[in-house]
Amino acid sequence: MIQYNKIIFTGPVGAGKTTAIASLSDVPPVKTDQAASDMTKSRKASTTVALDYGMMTLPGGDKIHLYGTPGQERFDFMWDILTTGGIGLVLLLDNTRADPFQDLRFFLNKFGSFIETTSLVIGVTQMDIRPTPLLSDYHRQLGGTGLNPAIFEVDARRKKDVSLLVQALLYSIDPGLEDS
Amino acid sequence: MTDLAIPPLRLAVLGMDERTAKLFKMFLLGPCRKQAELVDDGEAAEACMIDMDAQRAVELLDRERQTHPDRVLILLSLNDRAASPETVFLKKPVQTESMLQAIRRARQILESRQSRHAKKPETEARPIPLRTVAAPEKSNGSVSKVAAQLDEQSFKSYLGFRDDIDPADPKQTAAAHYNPKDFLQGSFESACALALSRQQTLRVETPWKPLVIFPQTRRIWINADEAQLRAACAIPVSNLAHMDIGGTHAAATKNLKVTLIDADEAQLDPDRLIPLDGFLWKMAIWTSKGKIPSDISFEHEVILKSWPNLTRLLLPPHTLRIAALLHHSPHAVCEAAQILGIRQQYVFAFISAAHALGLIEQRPKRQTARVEFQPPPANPEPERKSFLGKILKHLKMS
Repeated sequence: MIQYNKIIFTGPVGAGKTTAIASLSDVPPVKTDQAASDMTKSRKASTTVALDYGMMTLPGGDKIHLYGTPGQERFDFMWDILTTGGIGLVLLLDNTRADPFQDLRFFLNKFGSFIETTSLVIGVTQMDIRPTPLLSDYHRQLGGTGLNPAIFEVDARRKKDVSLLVQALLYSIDPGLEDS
Repeated sequence: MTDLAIPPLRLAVLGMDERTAKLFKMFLLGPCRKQAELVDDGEAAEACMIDMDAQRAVELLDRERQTHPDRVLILLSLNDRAASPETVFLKKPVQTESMLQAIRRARQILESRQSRHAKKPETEARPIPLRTVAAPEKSNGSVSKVAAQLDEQSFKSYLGFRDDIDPADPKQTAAAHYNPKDFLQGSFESACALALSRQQTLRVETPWKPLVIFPQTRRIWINADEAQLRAACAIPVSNLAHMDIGGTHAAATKNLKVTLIDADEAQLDPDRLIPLDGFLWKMAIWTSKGKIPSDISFEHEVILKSWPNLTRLLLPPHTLRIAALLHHSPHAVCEAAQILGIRQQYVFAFISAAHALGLIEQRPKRQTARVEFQPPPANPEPERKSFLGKILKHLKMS
C-alpha cells in the first residue's frame, strides 16, 4: 500500500525549492547541490542535481517528507519516482525568468497526471525584484486548463509564506480539514 | 513602595537576546520588587516591551500591534520618542524608578481600557484610537507587505463581536449588511477601479486624503499610517468631516476629483507605495467590522472565483478554511459558517474583503436542500484526513 506522506516541490532552476524546503524542515535539509557548469550558471552558483530532502516530524511521531525535484530538465526521469505517494505539488516559479509562463506550462504538463490525482498550489518568487507578470496574469494563463489553484507571492526564505502555501495545498484537498 | 496584593504585570519582551532577557527578568524580580514578571510570548501577557533599538524593531512593533492589539506597548529606546496616550515610552538606560513608573502607567492604561470596555454594549467594537504612535514607520508605513494573521481575540479587539444571525429574519439580515459607499471604502474602490480601467496613473481626491494610484504595478500611495486608515475607515463619510484624523479634515462628499499625473514625476516616498490589492482588502475588513456588503444576498450562494494572494494580506480568523470551502463549491454565506463551525462574522469579513477585490460571484441557490457539507469526490479517508490535519497543526504551531 502506498503511504501518502510526501510533499513535492518543483519548479525551474533558481525558483527557491531548496530554500522553501529548508524553511519548513525540522532537520537540516539534505542538499545535493553542485557547482553549476552550464546555462544554469548564469542564474545561480550551484544547483540541485539530484534532489532536496527535508522532513517535518508531526505530533505523535509521524513524519512528512519534503522532496525537491532537480530544476534541470535533464533530470526529469526522476520526477515520476519522486511523486509516488505524494500528497500534492508545490510549484515554485521565478518571476524574473525570461518566460515564467512557459515554465508554468512545462511543469503543469510534466506533472499533469500527478496533479490530476492530487492537488496543486503555485508560489511565485522574486516578485519584489520583478513585480510583473502579476498574479492575475498567472490566473489568466491557467484559464482553459481546468486548473484554478491557489497562487501566492512567496519569499522562499520566509517560513510563513511557505507554510501558508502548503496549508492552502492541504485545504484544497479537503476544505473541511481541521488541525486535529 | 511594594504592594504585594497586586499581582505582577505579565510582561512579554521583544527584540532582546536571551541573555538580556534573563538579566531583565532578574531586574524585575529584585530591584523592581516583582511588580512585573516576564512571560513567554505565547502566554497571556498584558503588556509587551519592545527594544526599539534592535534590528527589525519596527517590524516587531507592527507585528505585535497586529497580533496582540490588547497588550499595552512599552517602547524601550536610547532616543526620546513621542508615544501615543496608549503607549509607554521608557528611556535607556533603564533605572528602577523609571521601570516602576512604566509598570504603573501600563496598569493605568489597562484599567482605563477595562472600564471603557465595561461601559460599552458587547455587540459594539472597541473604540479605535484616532492617534497613532509618532514613531517613524518607514518600511511598514501604511499597510504591512506580508501576511498578518488576526486570531479570534485580536479580531474581537479590533472589530468587535457580533452575534450570529438567522438568515431568514429580515431584521437581522438588514442589521448585518453595510453599504461600502457610505464609507471611505466606496471612494477608495471607485478610485482604484477608475485608474485600473484607464490604465493611467491618477491622483484622486477622496473625501479624506488623496490617493495616487499606479495601475501598471498595482501600487497606491497615501500619506497615512495604518492606525489612521483604520480609524478613518470605521467612520461613515457623512461624519468624517467633523473629525481630524491624521491632520486632515474630511470633506462630506463622496465625489472624487481626478487628476492625471505622470508616474515618473510623482516623486513620492517609495516606502509608502503599497500593494493596491492588500490596501483594498484591508479597507474592506476594517470597514465591514464583521458585517457583509449590502449587495451580497443571504439568499444566494457565493463562490470564490480564485484564491486571493493570502501571503500578502491581513488574514481574519479561519481565512484559509473559508477560502478553500468557497473556492471548492458555492454556499450561502451563513451555510458556509455552519459547515465550518465558525462564527458568521469571520465569513462576512472574508467575503467583504474578497468582494472588494472582485473575487466573489453570486449564484441563485440550488434547489436541492443540503443539510451538510458535501465533500469533494476525492475526499480523503478518515485516517488520511487525520494525517493531513496533523500536518496542518504542525504548520500552524511552528
